[in-house]
Formats: sequence, C-alpha cells, structure tokens
Amino acid sequence: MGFTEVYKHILSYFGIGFLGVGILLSIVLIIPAFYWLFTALAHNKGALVFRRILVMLAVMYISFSYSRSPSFYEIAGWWKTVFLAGFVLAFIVHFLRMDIARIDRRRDRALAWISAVWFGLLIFSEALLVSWATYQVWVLYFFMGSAGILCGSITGRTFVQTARRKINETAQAVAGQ
Amino acid sequence: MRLSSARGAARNCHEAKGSRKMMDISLISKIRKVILWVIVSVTAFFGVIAVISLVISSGVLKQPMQYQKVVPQIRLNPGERKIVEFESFCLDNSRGGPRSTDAYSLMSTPAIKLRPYLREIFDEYLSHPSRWKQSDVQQAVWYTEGRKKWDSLSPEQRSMIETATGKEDPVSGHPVVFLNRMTSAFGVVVKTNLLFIFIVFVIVVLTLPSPLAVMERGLLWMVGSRLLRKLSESRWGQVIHTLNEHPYLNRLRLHTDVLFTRLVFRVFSRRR
Repeated sequence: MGFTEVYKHILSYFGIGFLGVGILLSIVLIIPAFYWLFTALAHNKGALVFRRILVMLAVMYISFSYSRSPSFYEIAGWWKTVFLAGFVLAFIVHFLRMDIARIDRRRDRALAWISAVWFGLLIFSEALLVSWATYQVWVLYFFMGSAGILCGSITGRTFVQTARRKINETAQAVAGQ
Repeated sequence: MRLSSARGAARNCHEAKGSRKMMDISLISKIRKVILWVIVSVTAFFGVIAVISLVISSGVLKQPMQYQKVVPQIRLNPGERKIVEFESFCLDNSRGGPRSTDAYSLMSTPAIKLRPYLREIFDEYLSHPSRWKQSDVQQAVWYTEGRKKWDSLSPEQRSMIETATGKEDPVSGHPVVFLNRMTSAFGVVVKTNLLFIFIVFVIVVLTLPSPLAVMERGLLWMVGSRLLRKLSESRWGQVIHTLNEHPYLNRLRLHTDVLFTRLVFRVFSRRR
C-alpha cells in the first residue's frame, strides 16, 4: 500500500469511531429534542411570534437540507411545489377558521401534533434510508407536504392569533369610549 | 458648592457607566490559548498518522494510472464542436438513472483517489480492454462501494477483481470501504438529527421563558434529577439563563412581535 492508502486506512478507523459517536448521540438526543420542539410549539404565551418564526425557519431548513441530500436523487424538483401547496392550504384553512378558532388556550396542541407527524415522517424516512431502501419518493413527498402544512399552520395560527388579539383590543377601546 | 457636588455626581455616574461597559480582556488570552491548543493538537494528530503511514508505506511506489495513455485529451477552440464517443461507468449504484434534462460535465472525480481498488480496476480494464466485458467492469466498480457481496458476483467478475487487485474479496473488512458505506447511509441521518437537536436547543434557549426547566423535563428519562440540577446550577446553566434574559434578546422578541402585529393590522386595514 502507498502512503495515501495507509493514511486513509488509519484515518478511516477514527472516522468510524466519530461516526459511531455521532450515531449514538443522534439516537439518544433526538427524543429530548423532539420534546423540546413539541413544548416550544405548544407553548402559547410569551414571545409567540419570535418563537414560531424561528421554529418555522428551523423546520424549513431541516426539511430542505434533508431532501436535497444526494441520496434522494429520485425526488426531482416537485418537492418545492408540494411544500408550497401544503403551506398555502394550511394557511388558508387557519385563515378561514379565524372567527371560530380558540386562541386563548394555555397550550396549542394542534401545532404540536402536526409537528409530531412531520417528525414521525422524518424518522420513518431516515429508517428507510438506513435500511438501504433506495426508492422512497412517496415518503419524501409526504414529508415535504407535512413540512409545508406545519409551516403554513405556524404562520396561519400566529396570524389569526395576532389579528384576533388586535380586534379584541380595538373592540375594547371602542366600548371604553 | 452645590454645582461642584452635582459635577462630582455626574462624573461618578459617568465612571460607573464606563466601568459597566469595560471589556474583559482576559477572555482574549483564553481564546488565543484555546485556538493555539486546537491547532497544535490537530497538527500532532494528523502528523503522527502521516509519520506512521510513511513508515509503513516506505519503498512502495505509486502505481501509475493508465487513463491518460488510452484516452486522448479533448481540446476545444472557442465555438468548436466535437463528437467524442467513449465508455462510461456508474460509480454510485444507489443513485437513480440520469434524466434527459440533466446537465452533464466532464470532470475528474475524487472517487478515483478516495475509493480503494477503483484505480486498480480501471487500470486493468484500460490495460486489457478486449479481455473484459464492460458489464463485468461495471459490476466490479459497484463492488468497490462495498454494497455487493462477493458471492453474488459471477466467476468472470470475480476473476476481473482478483486480477486487478491481486486479492480475493478485497473489499471485505476494509475500513475505508466500511466507512464509505456507513457514511453514505448514516451520514445524512446523523447530520440531519444533530442539526435538528442543535437548532431546537437554540430555539429553547432563545425563546422559552424558563429554558432550563424544559430541558430538564426532556432529559429526565435518561439522566438522574440530581445530575440535571447540578447541570442547571453549573456555569453552563448560568450562561443559558443569562442568554435567555439578555436585554438585547428581549428587545428583539418584542420588536418581532410588534412588527408582525403591524403587518397583520396593515393587511386588515387594506381589506376594509
């Protein structure tokens, strides 16, 4: 073996070790991370807009970077359309339910459950990838659709809550006059 | 008398403000030390491996690649078109077939250097092109990925690999191939999961009112409550707490809420 081959040979043992540590860490910490995401989305008080915008950006970033990985060549370019369709649909549904939606709950479980679906599909897709199932285009499209629905719901829900709060404030001010 | 005492008070106030804004310079030397140690450690790590590799591989000459001898160089003048026919091989068995709309470009690939035995297989084929069938060479190329089992190959394909590498089932147990195989499957998963964990952690720290309590509840299933309490009382816990209640962050949260409320209000104002 030449110098480069031996060098790669030795380095690869360290690489296997690092990858092993990464796999263990990702398996162990993914559960508390999901609990944190669930709590962050369910929490209905405090800096709501700031939190939800950050969560939405995070969901978008993770979903896009996952779908763009070279392993999912077969997904082609339609995933953006699926994401956008899910986003618009979820936003419209929340917008149309504006007058009947309950915004004063302590916990917003609807958003948290949608995030659970998104997370479940991500884990399912990862399990398929690890088990060498090469063709999983339908799972990826469902995953991107759920990501779109989650982001659309986050935006729609926050939009509705803000609008309702503002309307209530205006109504109270008018009644006070 | 009153004027001088007022001036003194103003100066004291100014000094107090100045002392509050003063920077801790000791932090710079700490950062410098950490950077230096990281550089020294990384250099030592890779250097020791390089020395070991040099000792093991001493006296072995690098096998020359035959590719340049067989395939002529393609040179194009501006505006010139040439049709060149050549054989090509797929390097990654798991990828989908190329579509007609995909753009192609001729370029060197790092796979030749990174994947063990690939160079030997191409060398053998280019040295004796009439001896081996292209389909057998393709199977041999895919075999170097580490996903094909030796038993699943035909006798011709095995013979091709044995002639090229001088070994029977050379990929089996090879750490580089094993790492490549594991990285192609687990790499995306580990990257996505660790990224997800890190981003959610940052979100909890920056946006929730009591981040340490939420983190503790999430970690309680695998870590004892005493250890969690120690962690939250440690320096890291204090850093998280300080960051969470930083006035700049509070201002940012408030401004985001206000901006979004204004946007929503503007949308409804237009509708009317």
